[in-house]
Amino acid sequence: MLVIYHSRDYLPARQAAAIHTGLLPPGPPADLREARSILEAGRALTATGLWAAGTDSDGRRIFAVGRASRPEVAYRAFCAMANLMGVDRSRFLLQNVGSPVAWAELAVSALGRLGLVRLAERLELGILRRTWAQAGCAVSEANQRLQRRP
Amino acid sequence: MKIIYYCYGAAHSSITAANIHLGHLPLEGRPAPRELLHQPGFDRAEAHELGDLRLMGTDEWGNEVHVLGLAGARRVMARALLDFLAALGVDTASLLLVDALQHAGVLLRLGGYASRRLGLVWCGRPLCALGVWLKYRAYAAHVRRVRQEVARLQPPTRTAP
Repeated sequence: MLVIYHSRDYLPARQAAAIHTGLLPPGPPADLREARSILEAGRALTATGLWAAGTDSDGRRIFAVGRASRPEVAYRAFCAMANLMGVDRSRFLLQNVGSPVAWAELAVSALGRLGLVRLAERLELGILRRTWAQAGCAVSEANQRLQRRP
Repeated sequence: MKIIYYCYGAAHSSITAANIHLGHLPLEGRPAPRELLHQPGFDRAEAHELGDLRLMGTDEWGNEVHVLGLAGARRVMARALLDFLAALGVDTASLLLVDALQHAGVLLRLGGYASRRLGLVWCGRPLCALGVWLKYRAYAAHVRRVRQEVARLQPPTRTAP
């Protein structure tokens, strides 16, 4: 069984996936930089693909991906591929994290491109703190959906 | 084998590549812009179809040729889809995902935005056809490489003794 968290930018999805497997705590830690480094781990290699957060207590494999599109695009694409290759939908769960358009994350990206790296980092850490509850909600919702499954 | 040409919206680049692959457009030379404008499925996809897989036909080897629109992070999503299948234990050797958008120029992007996003089909669609026409040789060369790879991967045919 796979659980795939997806968000517009990659960070909220990774945040939720990491909370789900216990890589990160349910609430924001004192040292957000360390949390950020966990979420950025392997980014150069795995930015192009699913980010693996490990397995949860029920043995489910937990992943995250940034989709840079609306949630339903990712949902349709994954379901279409599963259908094409004869995979039963009960074998995976897709969970959206965050709002369809994350303006703050777009601002971080824009600041980074303008070379304002420190400002982008401060904004990103602020977003990380503010989205912790959001990521936690996504994990709760995913767990509720998993429990409702036969 | 299943071949999936993907781009942003499965309206122009992937459609053109798939049509070249299936022989609806020539592999050599360059067709007239009018022919591109009227090719099957060109500039028809709607926003609500993003993420949907569409079967365009089967090639001479019996391989299915699909198109797929993956919007913004298309390369990330394409890789994620392969990772997803691999994590489920699916053999992805029979699946080939091809990025068709890499050949899209400014004209095609502008025309696509005008037609699909703004609804200005009267000017957007011809701009898209012109944009594809200008880059047609690149599209055709890419599809030739894909077809060579696909031909190489076909199982050997048995001949009667």
